Amino acid sequence: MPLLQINHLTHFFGGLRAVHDFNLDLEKGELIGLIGPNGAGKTTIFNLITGAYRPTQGDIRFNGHNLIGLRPHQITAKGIGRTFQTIRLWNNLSVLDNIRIAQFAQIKYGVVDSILHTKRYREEEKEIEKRSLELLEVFNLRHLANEVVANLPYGQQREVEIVRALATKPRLLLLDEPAAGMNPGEIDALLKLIQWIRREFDLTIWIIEHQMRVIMGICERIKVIDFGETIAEGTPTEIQTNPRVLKAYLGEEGF
Amino acid sequence: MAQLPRRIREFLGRIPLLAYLLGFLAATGIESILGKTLGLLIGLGGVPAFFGITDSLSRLVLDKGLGGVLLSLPSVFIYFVLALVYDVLIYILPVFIVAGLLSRPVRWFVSTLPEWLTGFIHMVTLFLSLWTWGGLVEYRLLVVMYIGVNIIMTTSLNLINGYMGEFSCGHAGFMAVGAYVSSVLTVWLFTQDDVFGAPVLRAGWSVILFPLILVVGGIAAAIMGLLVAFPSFKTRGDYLAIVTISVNFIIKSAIENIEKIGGPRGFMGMKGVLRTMESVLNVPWLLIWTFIGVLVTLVVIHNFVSSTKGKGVVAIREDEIAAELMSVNTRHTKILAFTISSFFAGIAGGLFAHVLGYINPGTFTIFKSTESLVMVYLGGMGSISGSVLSAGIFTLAMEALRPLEVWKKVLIWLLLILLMMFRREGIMGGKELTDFVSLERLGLRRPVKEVKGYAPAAD
Repeated sequence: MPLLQINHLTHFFGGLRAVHDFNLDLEKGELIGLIGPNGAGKTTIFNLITGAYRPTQGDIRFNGHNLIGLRPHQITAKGIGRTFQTIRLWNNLSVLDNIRIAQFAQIKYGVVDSILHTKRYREEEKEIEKRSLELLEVFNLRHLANEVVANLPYGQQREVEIVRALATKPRLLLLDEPAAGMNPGEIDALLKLIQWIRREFDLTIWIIEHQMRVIMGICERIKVIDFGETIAEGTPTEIQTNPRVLKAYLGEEGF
Repeated sequence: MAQLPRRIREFLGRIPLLAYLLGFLAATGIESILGKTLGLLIGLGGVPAFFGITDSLSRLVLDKGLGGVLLSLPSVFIYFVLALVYDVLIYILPVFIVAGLLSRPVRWFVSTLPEWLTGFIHMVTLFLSLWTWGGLVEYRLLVVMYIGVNIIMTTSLNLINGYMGEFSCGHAGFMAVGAYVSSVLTVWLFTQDDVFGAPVLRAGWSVILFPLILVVGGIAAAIMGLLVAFPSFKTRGDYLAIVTISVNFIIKSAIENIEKIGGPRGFMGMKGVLRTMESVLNVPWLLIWTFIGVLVTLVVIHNFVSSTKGKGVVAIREDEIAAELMSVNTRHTKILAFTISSFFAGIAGGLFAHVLGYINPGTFTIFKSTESLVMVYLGGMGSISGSVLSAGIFTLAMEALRPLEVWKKVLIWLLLILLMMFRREGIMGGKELTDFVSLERLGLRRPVKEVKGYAPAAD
């Protein structure tokens, strides 16, 4: 059974059709890419999966569970973590707090425990803090734990956002244009990081990108959409030579 | 010579908090023995209520135009200087002398005790000094309790406006619910009343049930808090602010239309409740419960917002969509924040009603809500110690400047404008007192031997 199964996903914003009849079977452990020109509907698909929008039509099943109608935090708790196209960290909080709060769904103690500082509360908080620091350690960010996020450079904020997504204990990680605003050197480092995360955390990863060359190197399978329609699917080499893709990216006159 | 001020500062900085509290307790003791004599001796005509500020200002002649004001200035000044002499002799000297003398013994004493006991001793000392200070002039006691009520109001509102970043301007509505529910219950249960008849329970119960009734008032207010919590799922910012104002008005109008509890004329009889309680055991019940109420509020809100669960509130302020997508159950968190906040507003209302002895719907309008808002912004959003400080300063200023009559309000709101222009982040600027002075240095926590903190990651 595929980990993520999307059937006939369609979404309208008013009269505008943002996504049309999108289908995907994502197997566990895959690393796939979704590309398309700006405004093609890529982020909308992520927003539909994570519950930020409710699709007009179609269904999404994750690990056998129907995701339609669930609220975003419930979907995240089922094991889908994500990052955002523009960084959306909690800017005035410390790095450590950003990571801690992302473990909200794993909290079992109640408000009364938190107010009375019961044993259960202390144990769980200790565990959360330990796990957060371990995650930061893995990414060499531990020395920044008490730093306010807004003070970090852009590249580190991107990393913190990935760590935060991992803190939600995902099985599927959705990365929305992780390379946006990065120079070629940083992109290479990022791609290495993504491959490493996939092995280390045993993840299925789905990357959105609009610059093709970024994901050509690491994705096994790529889907291309334009104006909400799927126009191609296949291995990187197949995609690179597909006339419809070239047309979408470069226009009619193309090569 | 230049060394001297620095060394004095260092010496004063080393004195533990408890020594200062004991110094203040000693000063209040000295005042209750010598205060009146000294006041008469240096020509103050008795014990000045608020360090002489109110009394000197009351010498201003405001109703004879500018000339009257100018002519009365010398007498204000003279009285102020005399009051200053009084303050130095009664407060400043004893506080620093006693604190200085006790510094070492207290430091040693504190280090032998477990931390919870140290905290308890601090609280008892603070309570005793407030009691003796307030006991001397009844008006002072009233103001101390107002400060307590305002601390509860400000801290609880800070949870919504400071930590969650929503703009609630209807906090007085929840205060009204708590005030009315608890007053009606105490008056019905413990006093002979025109509407409710003879007391239902024996006087002895009043002492035991009073705090429980306050909690019932708080719960009623918390339920009303849901009126804001549910709309907050769909509405934010300015629009939610309108919702909070509406809820304030709905509650006020509802009370106005319940004839049985006095409608617009108001409700009284709480002084009788107090007399019943004092007939059982003659201690300052209201001061005790206000003091405990403040402590509980501070502990609950502090512990809540510093837990991972409570930090969901701050995540909502920073980016609500990201919070929801990063597994924070935002609806649950909002319900919690609004109910906790309005619960404590209800507690504050119950205390306020019994301190004042009379309430009417007109007390709990948007003006009252605005006062709480001002205190939150004065102290700084998202700072509990800021809320405590600003509630104290604002309430004291409101009382001490009373002789200025209409000009008092002009002055206070002018200060607020200046604050917004030059220090928008408030007194504490989102920080806590403990960010400036460590608990170890205050003597509230035993010094840690090894340096705690995160070691830098080894590359």
